[in-house]
Amino acid sequence: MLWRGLSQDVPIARSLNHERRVDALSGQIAPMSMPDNVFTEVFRLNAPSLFRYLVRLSSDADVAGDLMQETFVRLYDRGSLPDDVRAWLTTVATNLLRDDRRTAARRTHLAEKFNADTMPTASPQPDALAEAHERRDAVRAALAMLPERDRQLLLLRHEGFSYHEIATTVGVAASSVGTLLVRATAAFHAECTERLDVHA
Amino acid sequence: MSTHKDSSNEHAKEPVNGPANHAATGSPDGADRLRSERHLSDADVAALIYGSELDRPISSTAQSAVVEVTHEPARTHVDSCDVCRRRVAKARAEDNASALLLSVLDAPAPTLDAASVLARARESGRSNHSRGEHTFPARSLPTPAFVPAFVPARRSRQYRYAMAASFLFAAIGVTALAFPGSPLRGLWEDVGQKSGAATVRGVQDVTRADASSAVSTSSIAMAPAPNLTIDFHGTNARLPRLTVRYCDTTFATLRVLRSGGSPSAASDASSNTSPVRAAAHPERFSVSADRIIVMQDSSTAAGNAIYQLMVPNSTRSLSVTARGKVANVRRLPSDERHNTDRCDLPITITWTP
Repeated sequence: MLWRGLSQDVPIARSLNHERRVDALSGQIAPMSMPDNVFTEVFRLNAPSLFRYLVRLSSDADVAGDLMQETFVRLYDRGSLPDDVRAWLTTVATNLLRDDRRTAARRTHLAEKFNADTMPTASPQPDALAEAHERRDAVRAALAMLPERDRQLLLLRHEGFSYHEIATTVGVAASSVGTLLVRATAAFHAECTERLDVHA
Repeated sequence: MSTHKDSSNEHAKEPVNGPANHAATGSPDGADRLRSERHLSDADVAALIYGSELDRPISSTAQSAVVEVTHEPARTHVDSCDVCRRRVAKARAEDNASALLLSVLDAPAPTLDAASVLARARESGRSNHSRGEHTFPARSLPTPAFVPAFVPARRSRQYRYAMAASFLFAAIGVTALAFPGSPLRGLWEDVGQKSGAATVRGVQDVTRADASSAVSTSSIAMAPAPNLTIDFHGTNARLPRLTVRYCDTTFATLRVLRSGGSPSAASDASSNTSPVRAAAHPERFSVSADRIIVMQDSSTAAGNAIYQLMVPNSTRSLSVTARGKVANVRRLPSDERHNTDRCDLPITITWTP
């Protein structure tokens, strides 16, 4: 239940809504700053899982850390808690990652071109480290082979999301989450097995 | 348990454990037996593995409890069906293996605490505020519990709609008033008549006058009362020649075809339609709601003047007087009033000086 953050903490959410005011000149709702204790609690409950989800999705801890921070900044800027905090955080983080990948693709292309000309070849790694890298690459490649929806389904399921939360985040019907999840898991497992057998 | 006729490989490879075999070992109840004859769908397998919950967190205890309650038929089927049992076991193994495989991708979390994120959020908020980007439209948020009584943007929109509607009605009204014969114009003129105010227009030059002020013009128009009197005044006023035309109009128009005040007009009696010599010797008119007073200044030639009167069909009676005496009173018959759109009715004036 802790995983659900403060989404069911009705008194806090209502109190935030009560504090909203309409700007008299612009007719827009002026943002209210979220109380520090509320924000800290939401961060404490959701940050580890969000980071893990982003790391698995992006395969880059630095990117995951930055995006997680940006996601919580946006939550603070929002001024109030969404109805489902965890689903909101995951959706925002996924969108941020999607945007980041678009720009990173251009950046990576330029960097690889630069490195091929200037950087020396990496030194060979110890066997254990190399094996771990190969395993990680195989899993990463298998995950990348899945469609984005199946990838999200799989990662959210292993973050403990409920059917309803998965459906909200991914944008599918809650009744079809189970079916999609079984098929995505099977596809991911088959892909991983094949790649690891090849490496072995 | 849904009724899914699975076309998976296991089903095709296992004819021994197919529906016929289930029927042989069947349950006493027909419906249960029918359900048990069908293999599990992917949704059933997912429900057995993850639980059929919709909004409950997944935990082993909760999962088992949910399965016990809501998937008893599926579990019964799994107990009796080797195909589905292997399928569920395989799916569960794949799920566990996937969890292990995914954990390979995990990385140690950064040393990031809520305070640093909070500081960055505040800094970002200040910069956004300074750029005016920190507000967002009200419709993007759920309806707040606190609804202020005064919302300027909303009232402003209503005000704009009201103003637009007012301008539209005003434009329609003005347009309707501008068209002769429109109902709105008739209504306006009726109101004007009832209030006693005379609307006077010169045909060539629009002139307004009341009964007390005389105007000099070659013709005059007015919205007459139902009973109209043409009164010729002057020290030696004589009855002129007067032609009356009944028209489908709302104005009574009295035109001077030949002025009696001009000395030369007497020799120009044949030119009935000649231009009016109003500029040199204009007639003087005084009008009220039910009366047109013609001032004849020339005593010698007044009787040579020629007038043309256009009367609206709505006029019930017309009287012509000279020097205060009724020269001719003619009550227009109804058929003449209403069927004389372009009919000239010369009035025979019997006047005794």
